[in-house]
Amino acid sequence: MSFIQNIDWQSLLSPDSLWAFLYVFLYAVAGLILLRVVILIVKRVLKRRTTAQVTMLATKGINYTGIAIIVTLVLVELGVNLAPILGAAGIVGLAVGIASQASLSNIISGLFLVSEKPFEIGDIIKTGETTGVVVSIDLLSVKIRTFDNLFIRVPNERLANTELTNITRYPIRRMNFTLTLSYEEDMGRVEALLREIALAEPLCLNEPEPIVLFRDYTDAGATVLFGIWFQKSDFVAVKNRVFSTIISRFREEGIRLPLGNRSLYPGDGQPFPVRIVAPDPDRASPDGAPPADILPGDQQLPPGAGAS
Amino acid sequence: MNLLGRQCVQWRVGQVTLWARAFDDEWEIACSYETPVLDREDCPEDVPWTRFVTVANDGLYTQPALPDRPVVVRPQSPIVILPGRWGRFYFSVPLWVRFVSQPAGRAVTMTEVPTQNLSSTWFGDMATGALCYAVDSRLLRRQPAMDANDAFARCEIEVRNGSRERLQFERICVHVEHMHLFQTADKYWTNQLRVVFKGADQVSQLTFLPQPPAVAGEAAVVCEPRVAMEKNILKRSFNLIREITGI
Repeated sequence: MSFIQNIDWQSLLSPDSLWAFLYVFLYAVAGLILLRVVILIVKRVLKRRTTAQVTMLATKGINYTGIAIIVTLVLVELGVNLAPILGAAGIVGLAVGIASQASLSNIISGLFLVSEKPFEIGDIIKTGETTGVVVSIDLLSVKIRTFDNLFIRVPNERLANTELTNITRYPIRRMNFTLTLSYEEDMGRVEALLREIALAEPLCLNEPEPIVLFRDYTDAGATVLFGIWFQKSDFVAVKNRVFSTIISRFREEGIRLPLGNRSLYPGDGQPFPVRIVAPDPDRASPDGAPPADILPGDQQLPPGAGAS
Repeated sequence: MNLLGRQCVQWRVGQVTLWARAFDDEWEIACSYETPVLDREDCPEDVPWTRFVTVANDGLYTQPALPDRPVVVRPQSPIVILPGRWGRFYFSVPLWVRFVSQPAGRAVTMTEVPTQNLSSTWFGDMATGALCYAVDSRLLRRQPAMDANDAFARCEIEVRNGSRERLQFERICVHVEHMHLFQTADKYWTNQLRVVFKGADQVSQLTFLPQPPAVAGEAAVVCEPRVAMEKNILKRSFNLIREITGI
């Protein structure tokens, strides 16, 4: 209260002082308007010549610098002695710097990210479990909007130190489908069918050519890599259309896609002996016939047919 | 074209069937590469219609146009042009139908439809190449035989090997978006293109001559280039025989 009592209200509210305040206020408003205009011009000029990321950094730099200059000029106009403030700011800055090493690390990592340009605003990136569109690259963090519309903030330091995938860096991509086929299928026919599917799909590029690569022999069957090239913006359409086309065309052609299949073969090449000891009355059909999954003794599995 | 009420018109151009019908201040246009032309006056409803709001007295006009992306053409077998030599090649470009609301000069484009079901292809390396259309027609040493009603334009390319190495190529990329479309008595032609190959690690020099080749005869411009044409531009035009096929 003594501080307020010591203020010389009479001189403070004198016409000269009020004019001085008004002058400083107008000075600040004019400075802010000028700063806005400069930022708009810089944005417009840089928009045509550089990336959104550089434009954002430049405008932020101009904004912060401009505000610092305006505040300094306003204080000078008000007759405030800046020397103690700057001295205190230096000490405070040092203290804050020591106390916020993580933030400094993020700032430096952010500078590396900006200079190295592993991604830009608008790119789709994947880091850890997060996949989304980069909406801003700031001093401390990168903001990502995921495809289910979540806002995720990733510290720059983490992005600088971890593996990061830029999904949209190149204009075209390859989509891989891994198919498991029964060993009884004609692999030549499967390859021809897969190439036909790629050729018939207008969103698939015919150059680079689609890849059909027989990869491995597994317990469930032969695995095949089917890779098709497409324009990055067509990802969802290509995925849905080719996925459903593979299923429908394989069904039309009688090609099975076994899942978790196990084929059992007797070692001596003879069929498995199947003998019905007694029909289960609970599972018998109304007409007394055995259920379909119990084969009579003379309908044994042929060699090589396998039992699933 | 002016239609009354829900009157419908349909026509077949190349592989595409087109329908158009008018409402008060709207035009509705549909196309299909599968539905055959129907012998009836009413329009099918199971095709995707697009509505264009215009003004009541706007007509509907069609124009031929060239594709909106470069086209990639293959010769029947890889071609080798020896250093300092040149050759003249021909191929046919599928035309597009452009629907406009006003006659030429004041035309406002409503939509464009390719007359062939074109597949996309990539030309160049993975990072800096270009998305193109792959055309089924082959690069020939003579003029392609076509009917007058075919929805194709003929294109003549003069390829010069201005390098000291053999030019062996299996695909050529033609930037039709820089080309004019001309109409002669019974055919469509593009303007002539001259390509000078300067080496495998150099871009090629493309020169778009202002008129179609002399064999076309008297021709009038029916469509301007989509992208303003410079006389000489440098583009990567050849896909040389690949030595390595990566996965």
